[in-house]
Amino acid sequence: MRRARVELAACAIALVLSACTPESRDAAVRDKLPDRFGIGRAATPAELAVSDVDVGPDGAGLPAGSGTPEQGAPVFLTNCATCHGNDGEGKPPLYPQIIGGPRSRAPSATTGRTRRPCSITSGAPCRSPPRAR
Amino acid sequence: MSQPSRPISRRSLIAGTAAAAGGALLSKLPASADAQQAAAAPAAAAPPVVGDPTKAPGAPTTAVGERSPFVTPKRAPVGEITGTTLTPIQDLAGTITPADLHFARIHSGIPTIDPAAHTLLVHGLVDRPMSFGVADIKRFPSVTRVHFIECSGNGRSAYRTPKPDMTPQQVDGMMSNSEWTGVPLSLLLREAGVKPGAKWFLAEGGDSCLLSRSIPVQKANDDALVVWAQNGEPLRPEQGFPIRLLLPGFEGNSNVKWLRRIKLGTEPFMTRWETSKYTDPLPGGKVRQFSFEMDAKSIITSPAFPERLSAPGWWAIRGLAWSGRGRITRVDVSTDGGATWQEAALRSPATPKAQVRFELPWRWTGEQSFLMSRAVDETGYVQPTFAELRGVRGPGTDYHFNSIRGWKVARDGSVSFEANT
Repeated sequence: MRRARVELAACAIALVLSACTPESRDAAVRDKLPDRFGIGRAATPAELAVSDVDVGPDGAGLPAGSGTPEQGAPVFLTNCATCHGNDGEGKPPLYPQIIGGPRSRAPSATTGRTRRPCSITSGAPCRSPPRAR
Repeated sequence: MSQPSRPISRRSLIAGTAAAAGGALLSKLPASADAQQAAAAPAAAAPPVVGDPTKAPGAPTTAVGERSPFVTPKRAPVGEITGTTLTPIQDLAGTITPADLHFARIHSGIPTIDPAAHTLLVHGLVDRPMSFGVADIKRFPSVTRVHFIECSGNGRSAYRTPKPDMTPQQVDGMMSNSEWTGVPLSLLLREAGVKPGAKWFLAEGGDSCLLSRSIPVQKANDDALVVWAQNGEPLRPEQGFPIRLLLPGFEGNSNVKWLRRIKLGTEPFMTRWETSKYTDPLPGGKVRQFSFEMDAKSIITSPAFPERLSAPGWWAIRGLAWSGRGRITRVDVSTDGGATWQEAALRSPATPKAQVRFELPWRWTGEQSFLMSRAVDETGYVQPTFAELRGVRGPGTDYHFNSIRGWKVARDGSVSFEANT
């Protein structure tokens, strides 16, 4: 009861200071519980290696390898240019501009032309566009 | 009798007698394969003719119940591997969406996952990288809460290419409302020990596109859940069986289904699903990113196309309202295109980040009318008109279409959709 009042008071103060998001909603659940239950097990390096496949915005997580724009150009021409154009200019509205626009795959913010799912998104897997193998 | 005569079997006699008494086509008599076939065939077409149900026994019990043959709500469209199927919101009552009618947005098909083999990894900036089986997750304390999920693209076609003959399902069917059961994500994170520098986490699904989104850790401490049950039963496969992330009030895409991995980091991971998709272009070349919260919104689900009011008189204007920022506090309804507004009654409890049913009794005089609904949430946010929303976001914005929806009632009682409010 006392704790509830304290929380209410804290929430009221937070409300005055800023927007009182219900950040204490699950805190009320957590506060009565132990810090750890000992449920689950340590993740193994092997299972992490299999699943930890994301690539960060800084390039961390990329598979080993190297390349240059010169080496990449023919890969793009083979796999991407048919739809997106030799310079990534796209063929709107079906195939969006992928270089220079406000957002790749975006419809025009000024004309509102509807973006259509193009062939590269119409089948599984959705991690297209097609990649060089 | 031009038919060749044949002996009358006991079975056909029974079936014939029952049919004469009525209800035989509905009753799946376990002894009669003929009766089952007969029941299956007409069920696809019009409901069967029913006689007087007080004159013959009805059907026996079954292991799993079915809807009345007179009630056939359907999601649509269907059959896509990368696509959406929409909830028939005009066919629903109250606020809970039946699980088999919950909308589904899938990007690479619906995976079949063995819960005994499925694990959730929690790693990255944590003290103890952890692996939780589904059975492990169910051992944690659980909570049960009602929340809506709405695709942030809900209402796109009504915004871009509105048509008078759009149904509520076609206008806003990419949203549903369910009772969810699961463990607060914060308890799982506490088990792994989140390091101080962690501000974002990556949530990754186990479908074949590994759909993944970056979510602020603050949301995990607030009200994020890892859920395994929906409306009293395990999740449906298209809703993420065996476990999904539930982020109350956040755009549908971030409620990652088939959840298999959570990775803590210092900054957003900039996945495909938060850069080239699920970002909102604005006039002037800027783009909104991480626009998670679903703004307050409402839609009248009746009267709506293709309904036709049969006669002037009292009609109930009914609809749904919801907000990703908290409770709905008020819904106003206009019958004259926004010239005047009346406060509708909230016919169900208004709980945070969940749908509420509103209703306004209305006496239709038989004149042309223009129905609108306008939701207000506890933050004071007021659902904008189409003109207001378009003025801020531009015609080419791609998500979060929450403008006031309109329905025009003609003198003949026909109802048509009107986006321009």
